[in-house]
Amino acid sequence: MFSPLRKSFSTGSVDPCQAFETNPLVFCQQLVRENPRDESAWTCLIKRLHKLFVKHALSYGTSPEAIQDLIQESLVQFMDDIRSGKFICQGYKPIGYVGTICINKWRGWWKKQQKETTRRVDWDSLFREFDDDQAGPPPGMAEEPDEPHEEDLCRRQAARKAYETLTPVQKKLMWEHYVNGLKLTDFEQMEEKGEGYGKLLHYRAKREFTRLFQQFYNDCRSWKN
Amino acid sequence: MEELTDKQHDDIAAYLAGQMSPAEKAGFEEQLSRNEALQQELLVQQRIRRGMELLSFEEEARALFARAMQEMTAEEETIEIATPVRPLWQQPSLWLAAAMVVLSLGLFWKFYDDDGGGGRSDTPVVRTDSTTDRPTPSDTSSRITPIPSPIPTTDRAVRLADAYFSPRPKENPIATDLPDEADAAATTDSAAIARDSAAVWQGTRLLAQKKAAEAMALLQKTVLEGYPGHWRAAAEWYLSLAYLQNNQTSEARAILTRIARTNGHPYQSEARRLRNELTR
Repeated sequence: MFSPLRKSFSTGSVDPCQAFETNPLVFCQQLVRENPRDESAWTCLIKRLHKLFVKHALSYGTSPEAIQDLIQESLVQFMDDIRSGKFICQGYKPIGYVGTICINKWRGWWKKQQKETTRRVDWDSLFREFDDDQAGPPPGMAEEPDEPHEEDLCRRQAARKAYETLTPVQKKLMWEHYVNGLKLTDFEQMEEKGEGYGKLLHYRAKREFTRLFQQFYNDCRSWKN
Repeated sequence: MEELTDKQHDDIAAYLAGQMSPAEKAGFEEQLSRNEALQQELLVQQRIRRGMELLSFEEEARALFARAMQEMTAEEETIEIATPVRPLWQQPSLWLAAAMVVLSLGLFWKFYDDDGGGGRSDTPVVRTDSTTDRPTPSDTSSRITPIPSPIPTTDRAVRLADAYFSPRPKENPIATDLPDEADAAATTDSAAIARDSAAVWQGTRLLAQKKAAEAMALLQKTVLEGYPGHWRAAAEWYLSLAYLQNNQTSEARAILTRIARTNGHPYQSEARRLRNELTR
């Protein structure tokens, strides 16, 4: 059965965790590299983020499972901000940026849990925790609510659910074509199939995916609104 | 609406991937402005591309997070091993305890001796007791519990797994509260919880049949991908037992440490006890 192909990771020769302290710009450049992503730099960032976030989150009664989900959600958004060019290695450190995303998501989580009134969190001090004198989050980001990302969350949920319903070979084609950018003709060759196989498979997979994606996306939006 | 050609499909893909030259792009955009079917297809493709892109980020984030947690657990283990343990003879509390024992024995012996020799005690029990003679070494030696021979680590791990294994997972004490999702997506979340609970039950059955490897695969999936809550937590506990059954003590210990530190985990106390026994 086909399982999603992970993008390749690279482990650079420079110790990213050392660069995290000594040369933030080098660390940041390692972090924003995409194809392949620098796994060591990301691991270092995640460990720092986890260490900073978990002590606050646990002390305010957030479960470890929720903490894990919030960190992963923050990483997804950070990756997206890197891809879209919203985050660049100028002016602010990645840990401050991703930490702010994480706190915003946590705030959103609290609102959903409707517990904000019972245990009040000092958000300002938390934002300062991820901030430092030379590089804080981008201006205005601290007040940014998590709402604009709700739409992307629905897109992602819908994509996951739709993707899971596809057959293994359809999944493979969708991943290779849309994530890894493989042309349909190259897919045919890779699978050692004749001409037209990729297009036909793509047509069916796309039709099924689009139908389900739209259905799940609408469901998601309707109960969020 | 007209059917698109293969060339147009390829053009859409190239356009969205940013693989067109400026001239090609201008040509395509001009064609796009006139062709409604092309516009529709472009929208569909954009939506799919975006969904798949987010999905790929999710996969990457999950993999990277798992790696970071593995490293953190390994580092914690290393720190625990590297922390110097003071030898027993350097621990003041042990000296104090030893001194208390010696003192108690001395006092006991003194009163016992005085009582037997001078008969000053007013305690009738002592007077009527027929065993007034001092115990001989042979008397006491027979009461000493024999020291068990050391058990090999692997056997010990399996035995501990057996000792702590319960074929019946704990029930979820509180009904999972899903008010927000109940309107539209209730089936999905409920289904996820049902799937997790089924996986835990299946895992326990496999463990009972000593099929540790199969149980591990099933429980790992639930731990990594399960719905946050009781059943995922239960899967963690049973995964640690599966590791023990499979003689993977360090992996089991890593999970047990995490459970032991998680307040509110349904198996927190068991994990603490088991972890203590493992480190003995």
